[in-house]
Amino acid sequence: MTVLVLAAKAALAVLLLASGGAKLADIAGFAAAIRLFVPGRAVARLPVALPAAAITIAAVELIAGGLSLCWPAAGWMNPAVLVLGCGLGAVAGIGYVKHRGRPCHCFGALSRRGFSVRTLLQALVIVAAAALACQRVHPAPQLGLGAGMRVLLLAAAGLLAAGAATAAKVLAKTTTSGMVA
Amino acid sequence: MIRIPLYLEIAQWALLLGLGTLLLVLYRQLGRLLSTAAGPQSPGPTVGTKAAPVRYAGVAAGAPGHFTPGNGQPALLAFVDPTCPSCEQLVANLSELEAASELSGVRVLLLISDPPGYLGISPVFQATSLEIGRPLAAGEVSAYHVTGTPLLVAIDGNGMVRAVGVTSKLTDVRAHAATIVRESEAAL
Repeated sequence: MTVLVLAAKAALAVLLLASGGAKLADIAGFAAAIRLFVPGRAVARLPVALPAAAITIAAVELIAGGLSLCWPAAGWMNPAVLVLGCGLGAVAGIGYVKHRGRPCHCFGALSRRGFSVRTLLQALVIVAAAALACQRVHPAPQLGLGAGMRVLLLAAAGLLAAGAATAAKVLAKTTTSGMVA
Repeated sequence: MIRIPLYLEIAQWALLLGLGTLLLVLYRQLGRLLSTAAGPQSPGPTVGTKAAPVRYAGVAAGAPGHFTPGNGQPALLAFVDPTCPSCEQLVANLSELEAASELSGVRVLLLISDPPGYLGISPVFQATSLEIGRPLAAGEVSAYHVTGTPLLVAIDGNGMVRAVGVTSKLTDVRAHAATIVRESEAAL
């Protein structure tokens, strides 16, 4: 059970890092996806707020992923990641009901998939993994990381996020992002 | 002997799997792109072929419309969607050229696949005075091989496709428009 809980925690952290990095590389695309959930009248009035919201969400994902990966003993991170997961689940659910097929930019330009049953199931798996990661781990020393180990993990986390951002940037430049007629 | 905490071992594997997955996604997406670009089904119709007519529902008036190539008027068909940021850029550039009278004599038609309700989420689409239509059926535009948006197709006055571009750049739009105007004038 301990292995499962730790694996869920690490996998979610990696997922958040990749997702946040990819979103940061394609802010315009992600802002367009956020726009789907904002009333039409408000969109015209908030030309700056939408990209700002996109940057904030991507940054929150990066920070949550980095903290969760490098400070596994910080118990308060688990409910925070669960809240993020629930938010993702809600977005996937609303997107499936109201905007089926529209691009979700859940992983920036890394994925061209739109809201579908698949994205809904993926979101549910993420919520389940986040709930699993909230379980307490015994014995606690399994989570004990030294300063050197944390620095190495942080470097790897940065590398992963940068890799995701670079890949997403390359794909954003070379792909088209709209629906196929 | 150094004792490695269990979490660190698991985190290392998770990072390795994450990086591996990232590489796979990148190669797969690039592979798809390259095969699309090299294959017979490259985006857009073949340059030099006759353009196909399109029946569409006009978004502004709600009345059905018909695009008939080869009636003497050059045309720019833009396959765009309000949910696609690059398409907004293309529409903004087309609107700018239209406002500057650089597209005089050229029919500009924006063809969307998103339901018209989505126009409300895009200030650019709401503000444009260009004609917007939604093909009556996906089959109406199958001859145009629209594999993604934005796609710009330039058609001369004789109904021949003169330029195709997966682009939203102002310079490309200007070049496409100049090509069809030149070809149409030469034909007269």
